[in-house]
Amino acid sequence: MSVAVSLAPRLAIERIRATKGAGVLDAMAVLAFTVSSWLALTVAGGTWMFFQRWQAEGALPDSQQTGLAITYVALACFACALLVIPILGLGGGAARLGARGRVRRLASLRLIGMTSGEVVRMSVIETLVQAVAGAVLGSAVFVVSLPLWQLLSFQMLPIGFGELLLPWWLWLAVIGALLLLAVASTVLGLRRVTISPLGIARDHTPRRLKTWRLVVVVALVVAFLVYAQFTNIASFIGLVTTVVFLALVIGSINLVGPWLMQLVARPGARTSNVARLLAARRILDDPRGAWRNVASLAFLGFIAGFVVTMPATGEGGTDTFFVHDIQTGVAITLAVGLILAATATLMTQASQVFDRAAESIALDRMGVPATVHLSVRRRLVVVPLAVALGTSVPLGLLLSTVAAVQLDSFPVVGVSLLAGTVILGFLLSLGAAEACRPLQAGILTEQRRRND
Amino acid sequence: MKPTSTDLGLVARVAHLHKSYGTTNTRVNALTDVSVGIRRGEFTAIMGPSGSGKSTLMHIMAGLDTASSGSVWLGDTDISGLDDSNLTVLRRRRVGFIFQSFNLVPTLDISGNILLPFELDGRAPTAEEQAWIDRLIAVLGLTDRLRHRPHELSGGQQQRVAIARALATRPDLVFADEPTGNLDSRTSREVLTLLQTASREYGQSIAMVTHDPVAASYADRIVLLNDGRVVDDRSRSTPEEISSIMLGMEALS
Repeated sequence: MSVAVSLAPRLAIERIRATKGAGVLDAMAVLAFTVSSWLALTVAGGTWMFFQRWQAEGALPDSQQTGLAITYVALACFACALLVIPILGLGGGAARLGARGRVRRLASLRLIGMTSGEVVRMSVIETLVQAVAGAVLGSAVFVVSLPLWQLLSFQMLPIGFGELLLPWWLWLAVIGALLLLAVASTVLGLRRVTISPLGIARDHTPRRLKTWRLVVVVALVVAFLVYAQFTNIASFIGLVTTVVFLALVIGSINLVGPWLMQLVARPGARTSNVARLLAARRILDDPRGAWRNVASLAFLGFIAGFVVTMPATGEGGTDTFFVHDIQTGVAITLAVGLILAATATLMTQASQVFDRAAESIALDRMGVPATVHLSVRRRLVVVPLAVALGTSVPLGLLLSTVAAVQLDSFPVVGVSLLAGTVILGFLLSLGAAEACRPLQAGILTEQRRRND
Repeated sequence: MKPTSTDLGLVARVAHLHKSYGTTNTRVNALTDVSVGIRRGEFTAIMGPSGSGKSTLMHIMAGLDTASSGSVWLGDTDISGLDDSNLTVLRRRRVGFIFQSFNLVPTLDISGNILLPFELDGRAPTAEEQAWIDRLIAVLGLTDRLRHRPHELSGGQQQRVAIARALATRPDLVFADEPTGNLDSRTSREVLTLLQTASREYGQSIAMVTHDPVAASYADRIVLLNDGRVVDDRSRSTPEEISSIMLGMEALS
């Protein structure tokens, strides 16, 4: 332990001072932890506010709203269930990103005599340093952003300054969960690359993903729909189990996603079009990675699909304040999802640039023209995204039938939100891919210089 | 009782070593029944064309890779049965590495890199060791570079840092894998002379893997591999002699 504890902070500090190449990845990891803890606190804070309003006697202006208070808590919990997976995913992705960036350096340390246990412990400490920095920054951003929420009102009451502020134990729980996940992701991520003294141990051919993934997801969705018929969301236990179940179903999209990527890309590998072939091969080589690239946007699509029917929901569906509140809530949920997706997309695109550095250099040297590179990258963004949204939006629509009692009219607001989300999702992904161009160019020139 | 490696004057040895990759259909035999010992205090070159198994042999001797069958000793320790942590500890106490790719830690300065093996062992160098390190730094001309980072140094300088790090703990054996592979010919000669000096003047045992006849000509002994077998084992030779043997091997295969 002692070696890892004494060496890790030193190496981390030295690396920050060196600020070359890997610095980008470090900064991005801290940014991701900041965003995820900020949004986690915000979402938890909102739910806490509704819970407090429900619990406190006379907090709400009239009896009708007091009657609806529990529904607000329920809907807030739904929003949490929708967002918890992408928030945790962002934190996990940040940890993984760091691990990838370290692989080469860690191999050198293994060679001259650091045991694999020490390597893992050292990486966990490094991740914790980044995650704690992110949590502190995220908490600061959360507190600073509190006054802005006062512009909004729910239940005909403006949000009070302190209302979103979490009690210390809830704050600890939220941050603690994020840190725990970061550590777990680091350990798992390192186990996957098995750092041997000679570098990444074995670049083995990825195994074909099996159909059981699809079976599990279909079974979960059916089970959820059946379960929802027999449970009462208004009761406390019913609410909690439904929300947990929903989170589980959302998380399971991650199982089927890579499998779908593989399914769609396989025919593409039999073609004479270079760009199409390269894109398809890359997806086939790492369907999980291709999915990770768009996973956060898939969740966004899911949320948009899920909330299409929302404005017509609930027993007080015709009350204007209720519809107004739900639309506000939906907009906030989508906004949070969008920020998460933007951060995650940028992060995964950037890390792919580093992960594929060797391949890019080889292709560049072989004389593959820049136009092909561009075309490949666009395909790599658009194809997985189309698959992701094509799956998640219908799934969201399907599951939203649980919350929807009836549809009075065509949900104009919901559909326009959905369309906007899909368009934004595509723009965001293409934008993130374009944003990584300088990074890619940097890698090509840096490698050239090294071999002068 | 069988004689130990020490009795034979060896720092490392392998006996009836086999190594194959892949499954039955696609099996590749990297090493076939290789038995060879590295003598203490000598500078040994392990030579052969690419694909001859020389790097595999070195990796197995250094405990970086495992054999399919056969025995491997480092000193008197049978390392074929050791687990990963024990191998790691053995590596950091008794073996030094000089690789083609230098393998320096980019974020540590030169001094930090040289002292890293001690730090990993959780101790500071003794006064005697510190004196040795200072001498190495002076001989290798790194005195003015201690506060620099690896990327601020030329390839030759980086390789000298790697040499200093490998020799610092006075390991039983230093493994060098194509140590001049990334260097121009003048810098290569400097590095090879340094290795030769370390062996002659300080009695450092060195095993160097190379395909370059000029590099091999600096060694006291040359073990030639081809197609995963030891095909020749000769004492110091000129580059011309080594080249002609290599050419002969190519004609045969």
